[in-house]
Amino acid sequence: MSLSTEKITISIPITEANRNKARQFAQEQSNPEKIEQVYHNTLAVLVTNNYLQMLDVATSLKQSHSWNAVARVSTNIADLNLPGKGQLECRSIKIGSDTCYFPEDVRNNRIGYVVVQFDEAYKQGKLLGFLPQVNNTLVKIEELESLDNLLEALHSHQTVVQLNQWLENIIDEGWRNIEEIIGEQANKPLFVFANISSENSKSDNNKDAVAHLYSTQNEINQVDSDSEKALIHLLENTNNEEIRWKAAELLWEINPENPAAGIRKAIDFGMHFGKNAVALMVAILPKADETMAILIRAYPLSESTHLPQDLQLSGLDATGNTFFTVQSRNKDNYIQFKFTAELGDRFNIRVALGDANITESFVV
Amino acid sequence: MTYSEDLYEQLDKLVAEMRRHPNGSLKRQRLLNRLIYQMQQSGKIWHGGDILPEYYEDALQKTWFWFCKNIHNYDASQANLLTWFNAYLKFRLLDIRQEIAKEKKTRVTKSKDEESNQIDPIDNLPAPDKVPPILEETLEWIETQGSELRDLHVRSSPHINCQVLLKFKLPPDAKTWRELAEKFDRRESTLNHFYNHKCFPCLLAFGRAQGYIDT
Repeated sequence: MSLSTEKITISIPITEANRNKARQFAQEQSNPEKIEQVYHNTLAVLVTNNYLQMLDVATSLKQSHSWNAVARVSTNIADLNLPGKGQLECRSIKIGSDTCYFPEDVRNNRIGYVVVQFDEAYKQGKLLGFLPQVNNTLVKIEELESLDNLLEALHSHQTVVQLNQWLENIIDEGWRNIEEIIGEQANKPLFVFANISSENSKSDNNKDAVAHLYSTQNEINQVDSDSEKALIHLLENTNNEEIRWKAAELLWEINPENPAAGIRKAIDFGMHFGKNAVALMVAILPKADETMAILIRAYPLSESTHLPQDLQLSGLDATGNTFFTVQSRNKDNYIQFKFTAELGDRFNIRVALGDANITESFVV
Repeated sequence: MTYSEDLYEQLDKLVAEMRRHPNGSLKRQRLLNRLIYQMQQSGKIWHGGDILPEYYEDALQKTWFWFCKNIHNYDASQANLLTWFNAYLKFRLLDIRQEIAKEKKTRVTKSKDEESNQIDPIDNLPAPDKVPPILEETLEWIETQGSELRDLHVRSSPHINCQVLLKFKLPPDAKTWRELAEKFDRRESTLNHFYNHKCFPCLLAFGRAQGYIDT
């Protein structure tokens, strides 16, 4: 049987419970414009949520920004979180309108956009179509792509780690704080000199390490004696990527929660390379020019303090070309490489030893 | 061959093809999408009649969820697909009528106004004349967290920081990105990007800390 090319639209009933939820969220707002906006946004998210559940697509209202009251009062937002995939933005129009409005605030960090049309009584939402990306504030209905394209996009987004979302503390499944994956050795920056007396307190050690780090460059002067502040100053002002990573690494040790140190997470692949299990760490450090510095590191897991020899850690671009490979020697504690990527860039990381290999996909 | 026979045949073919693909697969989703569309386009989904029109959508949504989950149980030799669907829908409405009858015995009935479905739900919302607590709390937090929020700023421009941008982006005096771009002499995209990656995550974190996540 041939499937015709006519554009499929799907009508989703809006239940009383859906309208009550939208009313509840709308009543938190301060002016008539916001009240209407939040009412529409909430219903658009709920309609899309019902639709995707019918099709067996996993959704999470709880992880959606639009389910965070502070996000609602501050932003014209209608995102629906699809675990492991990202945020789908659900915009809406009233019946009779032929143009949909896409606020600038939601044109970032989205896996795509759907448009829902309400009837007069808000008893039905019709899914009109999909857009993978939006470049204008206003889009005509006839420019929308079919819902089939949405379904395809959802499948192609499977298992791509969304690094841009990490900065908003939305962490992909399986990725954890590094201490949970590899324990204490996460916090031993190797460049800190070995001759610091053990009698020194931890904070003295930190102070020495910060002073040492400042002394290895002559671009920025240390103005703050407080270690944490001095490191943030360095992170924000130096142009030297090596120094920035070292500052970040020290800051991880002093205060891993400090957002100035970027984000780092690790994953246990759950597979062995030779006799060893290996964990992958990814750290991201946003740069002032809106690009992202990225550090990739492979650590030994469990008892071993060394990686198996000849383990390969590679970076591949979207077309599959290798742009970096590093290989472990006899007794490496870890191997790593660093690079800079732009928002939207895609890359793959491959860990391999002999026949055993695993590849993770990322989008910046 | 009449139109209806042709329609039911088409629907049955879709169902048969769908069953060959596992739940959650792209092929099954595309076929299910097409099936739902054709059912809706046929005009043969029961419209509810006089039984509780205000609860029709509740019953219909329940029926769609059931339909999508149980399509593998459909037996074309027993009834056509739409009859099968409509029978379930009708029984859900009768369920709701029964539940309401039970509830009515124990509580006061709704006012006429609430039961009417002619009114625009948005008109029904009270227009609050004072700042609601969540916005008030957020604005207060922006003031009290000043130094932390000021620490997050556009590179080499401490005056373009999270505290300042949050104040300008929140009601009641929200500015557009164009206005802010002029005010700070920066590109809209620079400010927008900084806001999305630095300021907005702070707001989300504050919302989470306050327990303002709905479940």
